[in-house]
Amino acid sequence: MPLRTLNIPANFSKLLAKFPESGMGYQWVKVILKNGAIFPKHKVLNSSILVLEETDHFSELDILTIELEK
Amino acid sequence: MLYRLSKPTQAELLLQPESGMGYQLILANTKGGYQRKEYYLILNTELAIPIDRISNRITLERIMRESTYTNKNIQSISLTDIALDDKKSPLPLVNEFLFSKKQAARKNHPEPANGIERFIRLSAYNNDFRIDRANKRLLPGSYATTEIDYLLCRKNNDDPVERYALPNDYKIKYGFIIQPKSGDSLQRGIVEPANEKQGGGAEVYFEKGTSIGTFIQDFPYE
Repeated sequence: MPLRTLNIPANFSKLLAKFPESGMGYQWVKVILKNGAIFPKHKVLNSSILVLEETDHFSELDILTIELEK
Repeated sequence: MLYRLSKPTQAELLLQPESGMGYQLILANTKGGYQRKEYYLILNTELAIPIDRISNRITLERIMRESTYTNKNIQSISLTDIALDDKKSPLPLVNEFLFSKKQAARKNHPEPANGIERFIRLSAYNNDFRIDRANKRLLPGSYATTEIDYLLCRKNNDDPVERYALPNDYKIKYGFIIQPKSGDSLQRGIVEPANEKQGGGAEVYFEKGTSIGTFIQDFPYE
């Protein structure tokens, strides 16, 4: 199955780069969409590339905010 | 001082378990000549370093760098009466390298960098966002591995994605050399299993990042 990814808008990238990594080169995040939908436990690579799961169907324009998973 | 182990010695070592990922710590006699039991750090059952020749971490890094990157002839050695040493070695440096910090870096106490030791950050991206190229530093909250562990990984042809428990989606293409300044804070540990990978490599966490001018250079990982 080819990898599905989304380039995160630059403002969120800059924010994520200020937060700690979960491991070398990646962070676990929660994505919150403008319609209220929440997508927990997603990986972001290099603070800029969101790895999508099979059932994820949204674009970068749908993203309200991205938070680091605790 | 570095030795290449003879084939019979290598065969015997392969029958013994590892002390850790990619290395064994043994007590053995040298075959022939004056016999004296010594502790050896064995790398990939192929190379032997007498532990009493390792005076500090920098010496160990230099020896391992030379063993990986040069083709100069290395003296061969055969060992006998090999015993795996599962107790702490007499050398504090090797203890620190091999036996301490057996959990994730962030669970261990911070310590100051010595200004000489180097660390390697591996990445799929040349524009790794954790490398502040303008100020030549590593950003706060970033991970790397020790140069020693990186060299062990290369020497043993280990998969870094497995060793450092990186996401499946990752293919390492670049390395970044970081040399923190004396006093930069870091936490050492071992990569715990994650992302369906076993981990086990050394990891270092820089909660506050590193000082300006500590990013030395990047290199392609092939």
